[in-house]
Formats: sequence, C-alpha cells, structure tokens
Amino acid sequence: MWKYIIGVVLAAIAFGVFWSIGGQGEIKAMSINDVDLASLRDGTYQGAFSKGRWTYNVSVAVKDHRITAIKLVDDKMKPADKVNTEQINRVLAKQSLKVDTVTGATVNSKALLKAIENALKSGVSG
Amino acid sequence: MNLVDDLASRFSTLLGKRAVERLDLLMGTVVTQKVYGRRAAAAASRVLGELQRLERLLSAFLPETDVSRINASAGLGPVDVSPETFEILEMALRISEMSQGAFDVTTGPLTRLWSVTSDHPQVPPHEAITAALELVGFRHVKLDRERRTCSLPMRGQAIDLGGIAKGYAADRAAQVYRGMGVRSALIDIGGNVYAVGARPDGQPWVAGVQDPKGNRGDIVGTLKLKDASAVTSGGYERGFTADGAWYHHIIDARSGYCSRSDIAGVTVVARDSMLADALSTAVFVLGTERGIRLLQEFRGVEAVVVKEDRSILITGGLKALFSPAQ
Repeated sequence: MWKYIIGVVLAAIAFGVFWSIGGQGEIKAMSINDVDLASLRDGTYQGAFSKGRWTYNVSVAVKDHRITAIKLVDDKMKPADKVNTEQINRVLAKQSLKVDTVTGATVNSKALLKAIENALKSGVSG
Repeated sequence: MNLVDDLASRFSTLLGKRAVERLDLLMGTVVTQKVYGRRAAAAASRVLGELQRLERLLSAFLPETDVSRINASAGLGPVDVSPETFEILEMALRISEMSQGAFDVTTGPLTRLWSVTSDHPQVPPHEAITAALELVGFRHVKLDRERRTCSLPMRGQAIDLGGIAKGYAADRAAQVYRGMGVRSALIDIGGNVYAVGARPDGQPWVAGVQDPKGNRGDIVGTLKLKDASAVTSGGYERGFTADGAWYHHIIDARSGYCSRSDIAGVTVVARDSMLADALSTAVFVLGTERGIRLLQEFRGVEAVVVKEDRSILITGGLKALFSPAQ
C-alpha cells in the first residue's frame, strides 16, 4: 500500500514538470541509482539536482523506512505549482481505495528522480 | 524506532507476515516491490540486481549496451548480441509482423524528429517525416539466429526497446521471486505491473487502471491480478500541444505521425509481461476493432480498453476481474 502511495505521489509530482525536462542528452544518459529504504533513518531530507536550466529542489520526509511526503521546494521551471499540490492531496486521499499499485502511471522525470535520490542518499545510515 | 518495535517488525518479516517494500530508481523510472515470505528481503535485492543488469544490456541511452552497439553499427554491419537481447528482438519482430507494423522498435529516427519528450517538441515538416520514414520499419532489422547477430542496413537507423524491455524485466523479476520460493510479490516498473501469486491472505492483488482522461493517479477501475501482468499504453503519458492539437509520444511507424486511433488508453493483461507490453502499444495504435482481433490470436491475453469517447470495453476473460471505479 505504501509503495503504491509513494509511486503515485512521485507520478503526481512528475506530471506537472514532464514537458520541461528530458530530451537533453546528458539527463537522458544519466543513470538513476537505487536507494534502499531499509537503510534510511527517520527525518526530512533535502536534495537538489541541477543541469543547465533544469533545477529541482525537493524535500523528502521519511518515517519508519517509508517515504511519507515529497515536496518540490523550488522548481525554477514551474514555480509554486498549485496543480502539483492538489494532485498530491488527491493521491493521499486515495489511501482508502485499497489499490496495490496503478498500471499506466509512469514516471519519466529523471532530473526530478535524481533530486529525490540525492535527498534520500543523505538519509542513508552508515 | 525503539528496539522492541524494531525486533517485532523484523520478526514479523521473518514469519512472512509483513511485506518487504522497496522503492528504487532505475531504468529511468520508479520501481516498487512488495514482497512477502521468509526470503523476501533477499529476493527483492536480487531482483534489483537483475534489473540493473538488464538496463546495462538493453538501454538505448547508456553506452556499450547491446542496443547502443546495434545503433552505433547501423549501416556498418552485424553486431553480436546476448541470447536475451536476441530473444527480445525476436519477440519484437513477431509482434511487429502480427500487428502489421503497429508495434515497431525502429521508430528512433521519427522520435528524434518529433522530440516529443524534449524541451522543444515540434511538428516536423512533412518532407522531413517522409525522409525519416525511409529509415523506419521493422523489416529492415536483420536477425541471424545461427551467429546470434543483429544488424540495421542504413546509417541513422535506430532501435529502441522502450516498448518491450520493461515487460521482459518484469518477467525476469517474477522468475527470480519464484526461483527463491517467494509466493507473494508485486513489482511495478514504472506502471508496468507483475503480480506473483496472490496477497498473503489469499486475495488477489489489486491494480488500479489509470484513467487516460483524468489526472495521474485517477483510475477508471481496478483489476484483480494473480500470477499475471498488467501493462498500459496511452496517449496521455507524454506529449505536447501545437496549434490546438495534442501530439503524444506513441508514433505510428507507418505514418510517421502520432497514432490517432479511437483508443485513449489500453491495459493488456497476460501471464507474460513482455507480450503484454508489446501488445499494449500495438492495440493502442491499431484501434479497438483491429486491436481486439490481434489479441484474440493469443491465448490468455485480455484487455481493458478506454476509448476516446470514454466508453470502456472489457474482453471476456477480464469481466469478472475488473471493477469500475465509483
């Protein structure tokens, strides 16, 4: 259930910024590395990714090895996007749907993923 | 978390009552796993390793993968590929043949021209599309079974396994789980879902089906899955608007333009995720009537089609497993 929520939250955030990223060779070729949630300590982590005019700053909250919230702190491409916030709220409200996952909701925003990865990396213990 | 809680949670994981959940970022997307059983944690990490290995084999973006080497050698000669890459290419060509080119892995030159996923997508001039179409077509791909090679005859041609590789990866993940004795697991590779067994309580896994006309996370209904994969293709995922028209990322290799069928989104359910992955694109491009006819050529392959007019069509075998959203 939690992974569904996290996946959909990521998808919802990515939705608003799809158009403004990708395409750039370097970002496309960039590999996104794994972050093991089991090794994460509780806390709120900041992560950033910047390449050319693609800049993302995210804040990721982790509790009991689960991502409980992801916020776009500052997105220069689409500042203060109300739509994103509404979508996150909608997704969180869907916790009652008892769905394990959603097929067809993809996440393609690598620059955003990298920012989230960078945030989570700072929370990995050891 | 205090020590008692920690021990309690480790104990319940050990008993297989609590899921091991992982979220990882790879293959250019988010991969989530929910795995039950005594060896759940080990299985989840092994699956992760497997997906990383496949990315190094099949990505069109990383250098030195089989796919990158084939593309770099376009017009120059055949390239030795791994047995797995060969198997995937064979399946891709088979679906291309059966769908009469509605599914095609050689649309690279067109994708570049439209650059739908870049920051400057554009509707290319018709002449440019006609020129790019010369380089596109699954019949150009030459596979040599004996030598296990693949070749593209013309410079500038390019293969992209984006429409089939995640499906293969999901199949491999399911094999890894089963090989390690895991009876209950769910993996989601960027919306490409595989359910191994049922949930620990014996109930089937439940996957939401994305509403192609709604916001991300909005669903048209839910599907019960047990030892099956669900893969969705839709024109809502990526695209851009020009002169009031929406252009999405699924390019029809036959016309050079993004496909304009009567389907807004289609979810294909099958035991074989690679098959479901390729067929979902094929059906999306072919449209409802011809798409469903294509599916009927396969055993145990079912679909939920959400048409442009928002009506929903469910094939016979799925009727009992699909519940529309309230």
